Amino acid sequence: MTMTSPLTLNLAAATPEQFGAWTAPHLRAMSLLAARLASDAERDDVVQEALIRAWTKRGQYDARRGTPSAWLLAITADQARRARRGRRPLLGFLPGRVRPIDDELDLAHAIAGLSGRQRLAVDCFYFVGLDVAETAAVMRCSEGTVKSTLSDARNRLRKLLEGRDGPA
Amino acid sequence: MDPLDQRLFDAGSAWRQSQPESPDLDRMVVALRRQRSGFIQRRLMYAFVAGLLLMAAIAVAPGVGGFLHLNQAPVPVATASPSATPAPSTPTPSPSTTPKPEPSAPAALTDAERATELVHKYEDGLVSGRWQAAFDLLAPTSLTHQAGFASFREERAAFFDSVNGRYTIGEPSRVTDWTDYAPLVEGADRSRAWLIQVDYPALAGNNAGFEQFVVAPDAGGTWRIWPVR
Repeated sequence: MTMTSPLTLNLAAATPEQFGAWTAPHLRAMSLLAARLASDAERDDVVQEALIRAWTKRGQYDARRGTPSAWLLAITADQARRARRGRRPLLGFLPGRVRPIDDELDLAHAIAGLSGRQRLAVDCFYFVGLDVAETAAVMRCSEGTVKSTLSDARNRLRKLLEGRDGPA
Repeated sequence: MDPLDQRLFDAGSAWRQSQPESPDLDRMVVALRRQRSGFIQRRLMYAFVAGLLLMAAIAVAPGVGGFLHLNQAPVPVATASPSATPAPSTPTPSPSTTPKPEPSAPAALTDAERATELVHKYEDGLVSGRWQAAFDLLAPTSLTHQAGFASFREERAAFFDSVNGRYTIGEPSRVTDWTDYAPLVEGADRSRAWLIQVDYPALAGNNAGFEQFVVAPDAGGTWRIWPVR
């Protein structure tokens, strides 16, 4: 049996199994992003749709333009947006599994008060754990824009939190 | 480290730990396999229908002048004969007999030129912050349009902050396989559609550094843009 290294895989000619192996290292980040941007209940559906979309578009992937991770995450973000359109839960990151202590609730409320772009940057960078380049791919902007958006978001959060529990 | 930065990192870390395992990859691969066999079946169906049409055309053509005959209508040839041959009752659009347009009449744009011009107009609107003008060029059936103007303006404004006002429009090409685009181009006249890629040099090397549009007439005949990437 011959194995193809995911690094040398010709995506356009890949079998579903080879494509699956190529996406496997990124599946965790895709699931986290889906849960964060859509909802826990929709997470698996979003990831499934994203993988199908990536599979049908695999011929368009260009390694010179970015990493597989950034490409897959950008597709996942698109699918999550479609799933969630108009019904983002206010406290997306507190689905009952995290102890709802006041501190976390305050932070969740404050994050809900950010603009859409700021919230997306915070979700990707702090919660999903993406680096700046991957966050830029999801947000379809430059890394510099991600940094400035995160900085704006923190400033806004400080103000929102000061109104609740004093200085952050 | 900034205390707020730390607080966000801690909250993020706690949230990640609270998340369940990733979905089952094997189950997802099964869905990909199904997707592929569906694609092959669609291809076979198209080939079958095309074969049927071809056979029907061949069957009709010899006796009653089916469409194969029409397609092969003799092209009027300018001859040196002085006899006044009556013109065929059905004018044939042959370049050799079509009168040249009046010099003053502006040359009609081809579909490819029209598509490129529309994308230019769209991108010009975006780089100059005329969001509404750009939004109005999108097909109302496109997903981007359906998300609403406010969402479009917010998303585009942030993106074009990074673009630095520069874009490059690629050569239009025809779409030979609609599998990728079909769900995104509802209402487009696919027979006249062109696919155009726009690159943003300021974002070169980033998968977000280019976008693709299908440009085509909509059901009412108005040329529109469907963002497909």
